[in-house]
Amino acid sequence: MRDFVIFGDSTCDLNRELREKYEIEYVPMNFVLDGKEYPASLDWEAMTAHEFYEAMRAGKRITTTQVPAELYSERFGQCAKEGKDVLYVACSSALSGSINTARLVAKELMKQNPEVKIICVDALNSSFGQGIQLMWASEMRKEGKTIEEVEEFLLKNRNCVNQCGTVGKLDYLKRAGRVTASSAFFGNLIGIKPIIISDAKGQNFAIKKAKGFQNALKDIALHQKEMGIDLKDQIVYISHADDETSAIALGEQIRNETGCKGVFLDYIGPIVGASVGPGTIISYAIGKEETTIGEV
Amino acid sequence: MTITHVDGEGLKEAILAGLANLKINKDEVDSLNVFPVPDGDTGTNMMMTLEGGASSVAGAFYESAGEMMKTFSRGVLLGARGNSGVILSQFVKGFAMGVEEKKTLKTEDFRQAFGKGVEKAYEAVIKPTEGTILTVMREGFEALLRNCPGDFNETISLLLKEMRTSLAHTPELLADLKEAGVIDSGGAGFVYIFEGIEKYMKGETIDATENLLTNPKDSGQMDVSAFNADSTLEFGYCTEFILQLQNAKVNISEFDVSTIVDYLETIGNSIVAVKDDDLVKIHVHTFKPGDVLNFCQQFGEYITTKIENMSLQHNETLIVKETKPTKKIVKETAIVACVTGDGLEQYFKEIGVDVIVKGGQTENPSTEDFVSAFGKIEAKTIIVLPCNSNIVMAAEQAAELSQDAKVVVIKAKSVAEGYSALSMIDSSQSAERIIRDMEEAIKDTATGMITTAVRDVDYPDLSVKKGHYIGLNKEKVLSDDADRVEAVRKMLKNTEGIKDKYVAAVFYGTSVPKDELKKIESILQEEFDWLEYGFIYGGQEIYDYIFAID
Repeated sequence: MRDFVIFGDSTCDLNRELREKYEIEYVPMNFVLDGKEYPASLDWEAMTAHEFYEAMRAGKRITTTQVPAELYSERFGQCAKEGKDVLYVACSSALSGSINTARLVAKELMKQNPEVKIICVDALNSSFGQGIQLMWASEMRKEGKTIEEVEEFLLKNRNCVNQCGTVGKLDYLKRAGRVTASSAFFGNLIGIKPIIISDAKGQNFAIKKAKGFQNALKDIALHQKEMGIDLKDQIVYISHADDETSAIALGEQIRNETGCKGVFLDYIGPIVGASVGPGTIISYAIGKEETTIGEV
Repeated sequence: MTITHVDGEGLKEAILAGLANLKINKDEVDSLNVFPVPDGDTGTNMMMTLEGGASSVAGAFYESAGEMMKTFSRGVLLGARGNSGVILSQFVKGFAMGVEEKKTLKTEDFRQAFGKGVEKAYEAVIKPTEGTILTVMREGFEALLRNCPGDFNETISLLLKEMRTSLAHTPELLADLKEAGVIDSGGAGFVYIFEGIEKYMKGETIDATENLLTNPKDSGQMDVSAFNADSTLEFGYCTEFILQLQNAKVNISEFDVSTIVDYLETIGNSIVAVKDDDLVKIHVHTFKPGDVLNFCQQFGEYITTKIENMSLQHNETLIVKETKPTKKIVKETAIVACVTGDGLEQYFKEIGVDVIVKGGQTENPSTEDFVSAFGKIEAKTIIVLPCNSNIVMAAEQAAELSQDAKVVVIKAKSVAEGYSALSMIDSSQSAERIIRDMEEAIKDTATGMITTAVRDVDYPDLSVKKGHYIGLNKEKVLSDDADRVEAVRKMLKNTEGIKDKYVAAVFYGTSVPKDELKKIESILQEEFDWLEYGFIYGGQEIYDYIFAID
């Protein structure tokens, strides 16, 4: 059986330690701040996460770019050269066009190297929703499953990773156009928090509103409880955009509500962070398949 | 003089005398407000409600009492505003039903119709409260049941005597009245109406009568010097009429008033058109009133017409506050809200309201105002947020009159509740979901409003001084202070359950300077630091601040 390399990208939010543990590679996207382009590193090399989100708080506009085709070519091509297959679990196609580029590059590479398989899976998720799927893939690889078996499993289960979170301010999401809801939903509402899931198509979708932050935490925990399966045996992943206190509070709330085994906290990486803005907190747990489809 | 029979004209004149007497005393009725706030307007509302009826019968001669009441009650129904106005309109409707077949009335007929009126009035209120206009009319009727002489003079005197006693007792039945040291305002208005009727029966004249009717006879009083032989017609004519649709000319039930509106749009503006059964009521500003009348005559005949040169100053009582005709709003579910203040109106539109019904500062919108708002919308469901407890009933009455859309009135009884309802919805959702979300949203909303007291009141635990700032919620006065910021602080402190709240949205009015907002902000930060808050310019008058606390 051929060995395969597992790739994520800048939105998978797996830190160095986890990537090393699960032997996961990643291809970075880029972000632009003050006219300067930086690779969107999951290890926060160019600036710390706090500095990044502080810049946003100060009103700096941060834009992002997809993974360049040459980079896919270079990284995937290297694997082909080494005689390895590639499994790329990409950021939701509803949020980034990167997977489309990756597919084109993969097609080209496979034409040149007919023995090589390069499989791109749309995670229909981002942040830990994508990260969890990468860890699944790694564990299956360890169990000796083939790349096709892993692909099949991911396609079947990708909508069972349930995202539920809220944002610090609605403005960023609105500006980035990366959430589905009517314009009235986004009126300038004081203290009203949208509860956002990743729907069956991988788009952020505001399912309801909560009055005030505390109620939002409660609603998120209840949503995970309702959607979750065997939460007692799970670690719930929470990513945040420079608001650890709130992330801890959410972790507590979810732990109380669901009795989950543990909570893992980390920063939201620069790509997702740029579109959701500081103060965002998102939880991820495994459970029932998400079937909701948000309408524009 | 003994009066044993009353015909259509007699009854009309008697009621108009009642209206005149109410008009003379309306300021006093207005001041009978439970809260010492400047928006007490029961007298005004009842007067305007009856004026709706008065305009509808103006200029016509009625032999039959039943016929007169039929037209009159329809006008009253559309003119109804404020809760007392709606109750009064239902009383009139019941009375009209009671005399439907009768040309002339004997006192016995009057008693029966009065009873029917009381019945309808009670039906209009979901939970009838005693110690209100309802009690006054009911006890009056009970007196008539005990004794109903054949003479109208005696009968009305008896009725009035009983109703005055009943009115004096209202504070015993309703703690709010007793606390505030007033009698019920709606009941007082009702008594004034019958005092006017009594005076008419006795042959006394009432001064205000002359000003009451907007009918062509009034034209004699206007100052015509503004338009002379050399003037050019600048503004056109304000043209109003009530058209009786005729079976011989149109299929009445299928007749769509937009046929007329479409035509009017080609030659005029400021169009208001309302169809009610077989009547069409039109208001339009046009340079060619003759063309309008000729056009509309193809559908029916005129009951009243009024054409006035707008270069002259006129009393346009019939005009619903309305600007230019707009295209209909077409959507699945539309939202209508009643707020006043440039900031509030704009903001409510931003967060999902399709049509705003304006309620002037001392004037609640009428049933007809809501009906005409519904007319601007083509939707399966229309959701109404009255945003004031005194507007709920007029909105509900309008909802019942709506034929095209299903109208649901959400019982949002303050601007704060209206905001709260809107803030929690996604207006692209289904009507059922929006309604559910709104009802859920306002359950825990606390309202806090700051205004200036218009009189002294001693409550058991709070003394209110005239001219002081007071803070109140929907039910009671929470604070009193000479300083507005202090009044806010005390109000928040006394807001029930504030410790369990999360969010405060603050709408500030025209009289609030920016530096005062800073002071309010420090209070929120220092003493209510668990609340997320924000300030929004509301531009409302009367209430300097409106807090929506969730």
